[in-house]
Amino acid sequence: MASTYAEAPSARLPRARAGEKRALPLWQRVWRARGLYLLIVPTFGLLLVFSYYPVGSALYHAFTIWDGNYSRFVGLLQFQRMLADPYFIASVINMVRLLIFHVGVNLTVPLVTAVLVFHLPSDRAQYWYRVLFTLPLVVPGVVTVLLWRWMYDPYGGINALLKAVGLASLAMDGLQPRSWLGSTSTALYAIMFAGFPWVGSINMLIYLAGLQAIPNELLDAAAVDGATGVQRFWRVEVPMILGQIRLILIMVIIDVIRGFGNILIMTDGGPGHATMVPGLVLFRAGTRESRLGYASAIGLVLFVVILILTVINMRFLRPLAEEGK
Amino acid sequence: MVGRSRFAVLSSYGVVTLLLLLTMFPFGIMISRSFKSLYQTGISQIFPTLPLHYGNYVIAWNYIARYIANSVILVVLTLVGVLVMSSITAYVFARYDFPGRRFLFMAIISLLMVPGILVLIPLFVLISRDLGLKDSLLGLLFPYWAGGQVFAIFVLHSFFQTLPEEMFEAARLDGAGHVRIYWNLVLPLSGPILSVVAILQIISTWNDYILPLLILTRDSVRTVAIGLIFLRDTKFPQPGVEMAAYVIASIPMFLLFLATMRTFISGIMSGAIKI
Repeated sequence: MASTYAEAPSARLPRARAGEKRALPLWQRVWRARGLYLLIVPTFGLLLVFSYYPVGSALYHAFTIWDGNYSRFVGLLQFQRMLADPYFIASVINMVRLLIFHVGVNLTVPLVTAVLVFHLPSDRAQYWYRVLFTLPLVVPGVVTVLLWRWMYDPYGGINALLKAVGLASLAMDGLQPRSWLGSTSTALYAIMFAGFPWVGSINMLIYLAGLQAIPNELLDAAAVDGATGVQRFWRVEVPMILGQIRLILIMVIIDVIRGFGNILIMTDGGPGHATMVPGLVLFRAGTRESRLGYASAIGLVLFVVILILTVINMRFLRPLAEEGK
Repeated sequence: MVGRSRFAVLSSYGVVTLLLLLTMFPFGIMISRSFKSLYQTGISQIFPTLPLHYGNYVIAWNYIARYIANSVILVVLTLVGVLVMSSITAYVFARYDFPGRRFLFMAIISLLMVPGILVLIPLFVLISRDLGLKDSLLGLLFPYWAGGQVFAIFVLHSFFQTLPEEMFEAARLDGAGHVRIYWNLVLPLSGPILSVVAILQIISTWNDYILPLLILTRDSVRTVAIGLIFLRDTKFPQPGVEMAAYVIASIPMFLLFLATMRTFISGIMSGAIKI
């Protein structure tokens, strides 16, 4: 990643005009740099209107009742409402379940896949598996989600498969074909199962890059010492790619906390609140229910949680992850 | 590998291949179904049937050509704006010192920590009510320009800092101004890094669907990602046609991938790491 480049010492950077002395008064230095300010005006103009203003608006309106036109300051009322909202409570519980599942899956399946690909004896084979595993990334995310929605349809792929392999009884729910997303008992599990076998191409590639950066001497030494594949995995490979593992851990957590697009399309949080997640409570409050203050308050809570994780990542984890690149 | 048995090698090929096939499975079904007539989906929901029914693609194309055109326009305009503005801004911050430089740069970079979900609703209100840009591609273009720039500036700034200062001194001695140096010196050296940024921008613009879902409610202005969501709800085409539309929507990124494989992967990975 680009951030590994060393910071250029700013003392060496030229000022707006060559030969200028630091001793000039501020307004003169500003005036001399006017051409530079002009060049960055478009960027800051856009950021001011479409980034800073919405951030400020979100932070302020989290403490208001707001219908999009009028807002009234109400202090912490929206945060109290959150604690009393059964939909929000359910959404947090669902989010925790999704977190546990996705963390578990993303720390294992892509890692094992990467290790297997890494140790394939032929370089050509390694290359081709890398390319082929990348292929699902070209399919728009929305298509993948729509495909899985169809898979779970009563007349969709999962039930057809079950019938084809002789498990027709599983495909039925009483006398009806089973609707995997339409039943409270299966909907959240169906959402977790989507994406099976969860190789998660990006994560696999990140692990693989980490493995490829392990010095060959280390792997050779392990081989000379007669280490088995499993020993080598635990004693050499895992310690050497801890940076990548932690990076993916944080990425997965943040993605689950802020994610709701797939659920919006597949179940819209239903049935009931069986698949509701905080992001979706926010989305619905902010659009269909005209409770924009409530939406902003949820946004603020999610932001604070993500911010803490991002800071942890930047402070402690990113440098580790990039050593291996 | 030394001392690995034939069996171990074969079984790792087996496992990896199985994982690959399972990963591809839904997309395989997508392609298989996209060639089926309504009658053929009755014979088998999943497995291919003969004869292949190419007509689905013609019908699907008629449904989504408009969406694709909208997406292409949006992607191109977003890309040009983001690349031009972010490269200029990154260049200024990386190669010049001026009052406020540090503060202004931190102000940009701190936006990397703001998740889209925090600003989603205020942005929606700003664009559709305050600015009146509901149902207009401009309503997406402006926030994409703003949002796309932040990460692009971060990446390009790091790269521009690594360029040797002697080169710039020489150019300045020859009397070249800020703009000449940027155009004749910086840009030609930045091809690879600019293409990584470009690919990341193209993919994220093509695939985005949350904000478009809020801003573009009129059918004729929809982008391809949200056009697909409404395909079944509003028009109820045959299942084969629906899948053919999914395939068509995936083709542009597939072609981009084939043409730029290595850069494509770097683009996606840098986008993932950005958090």
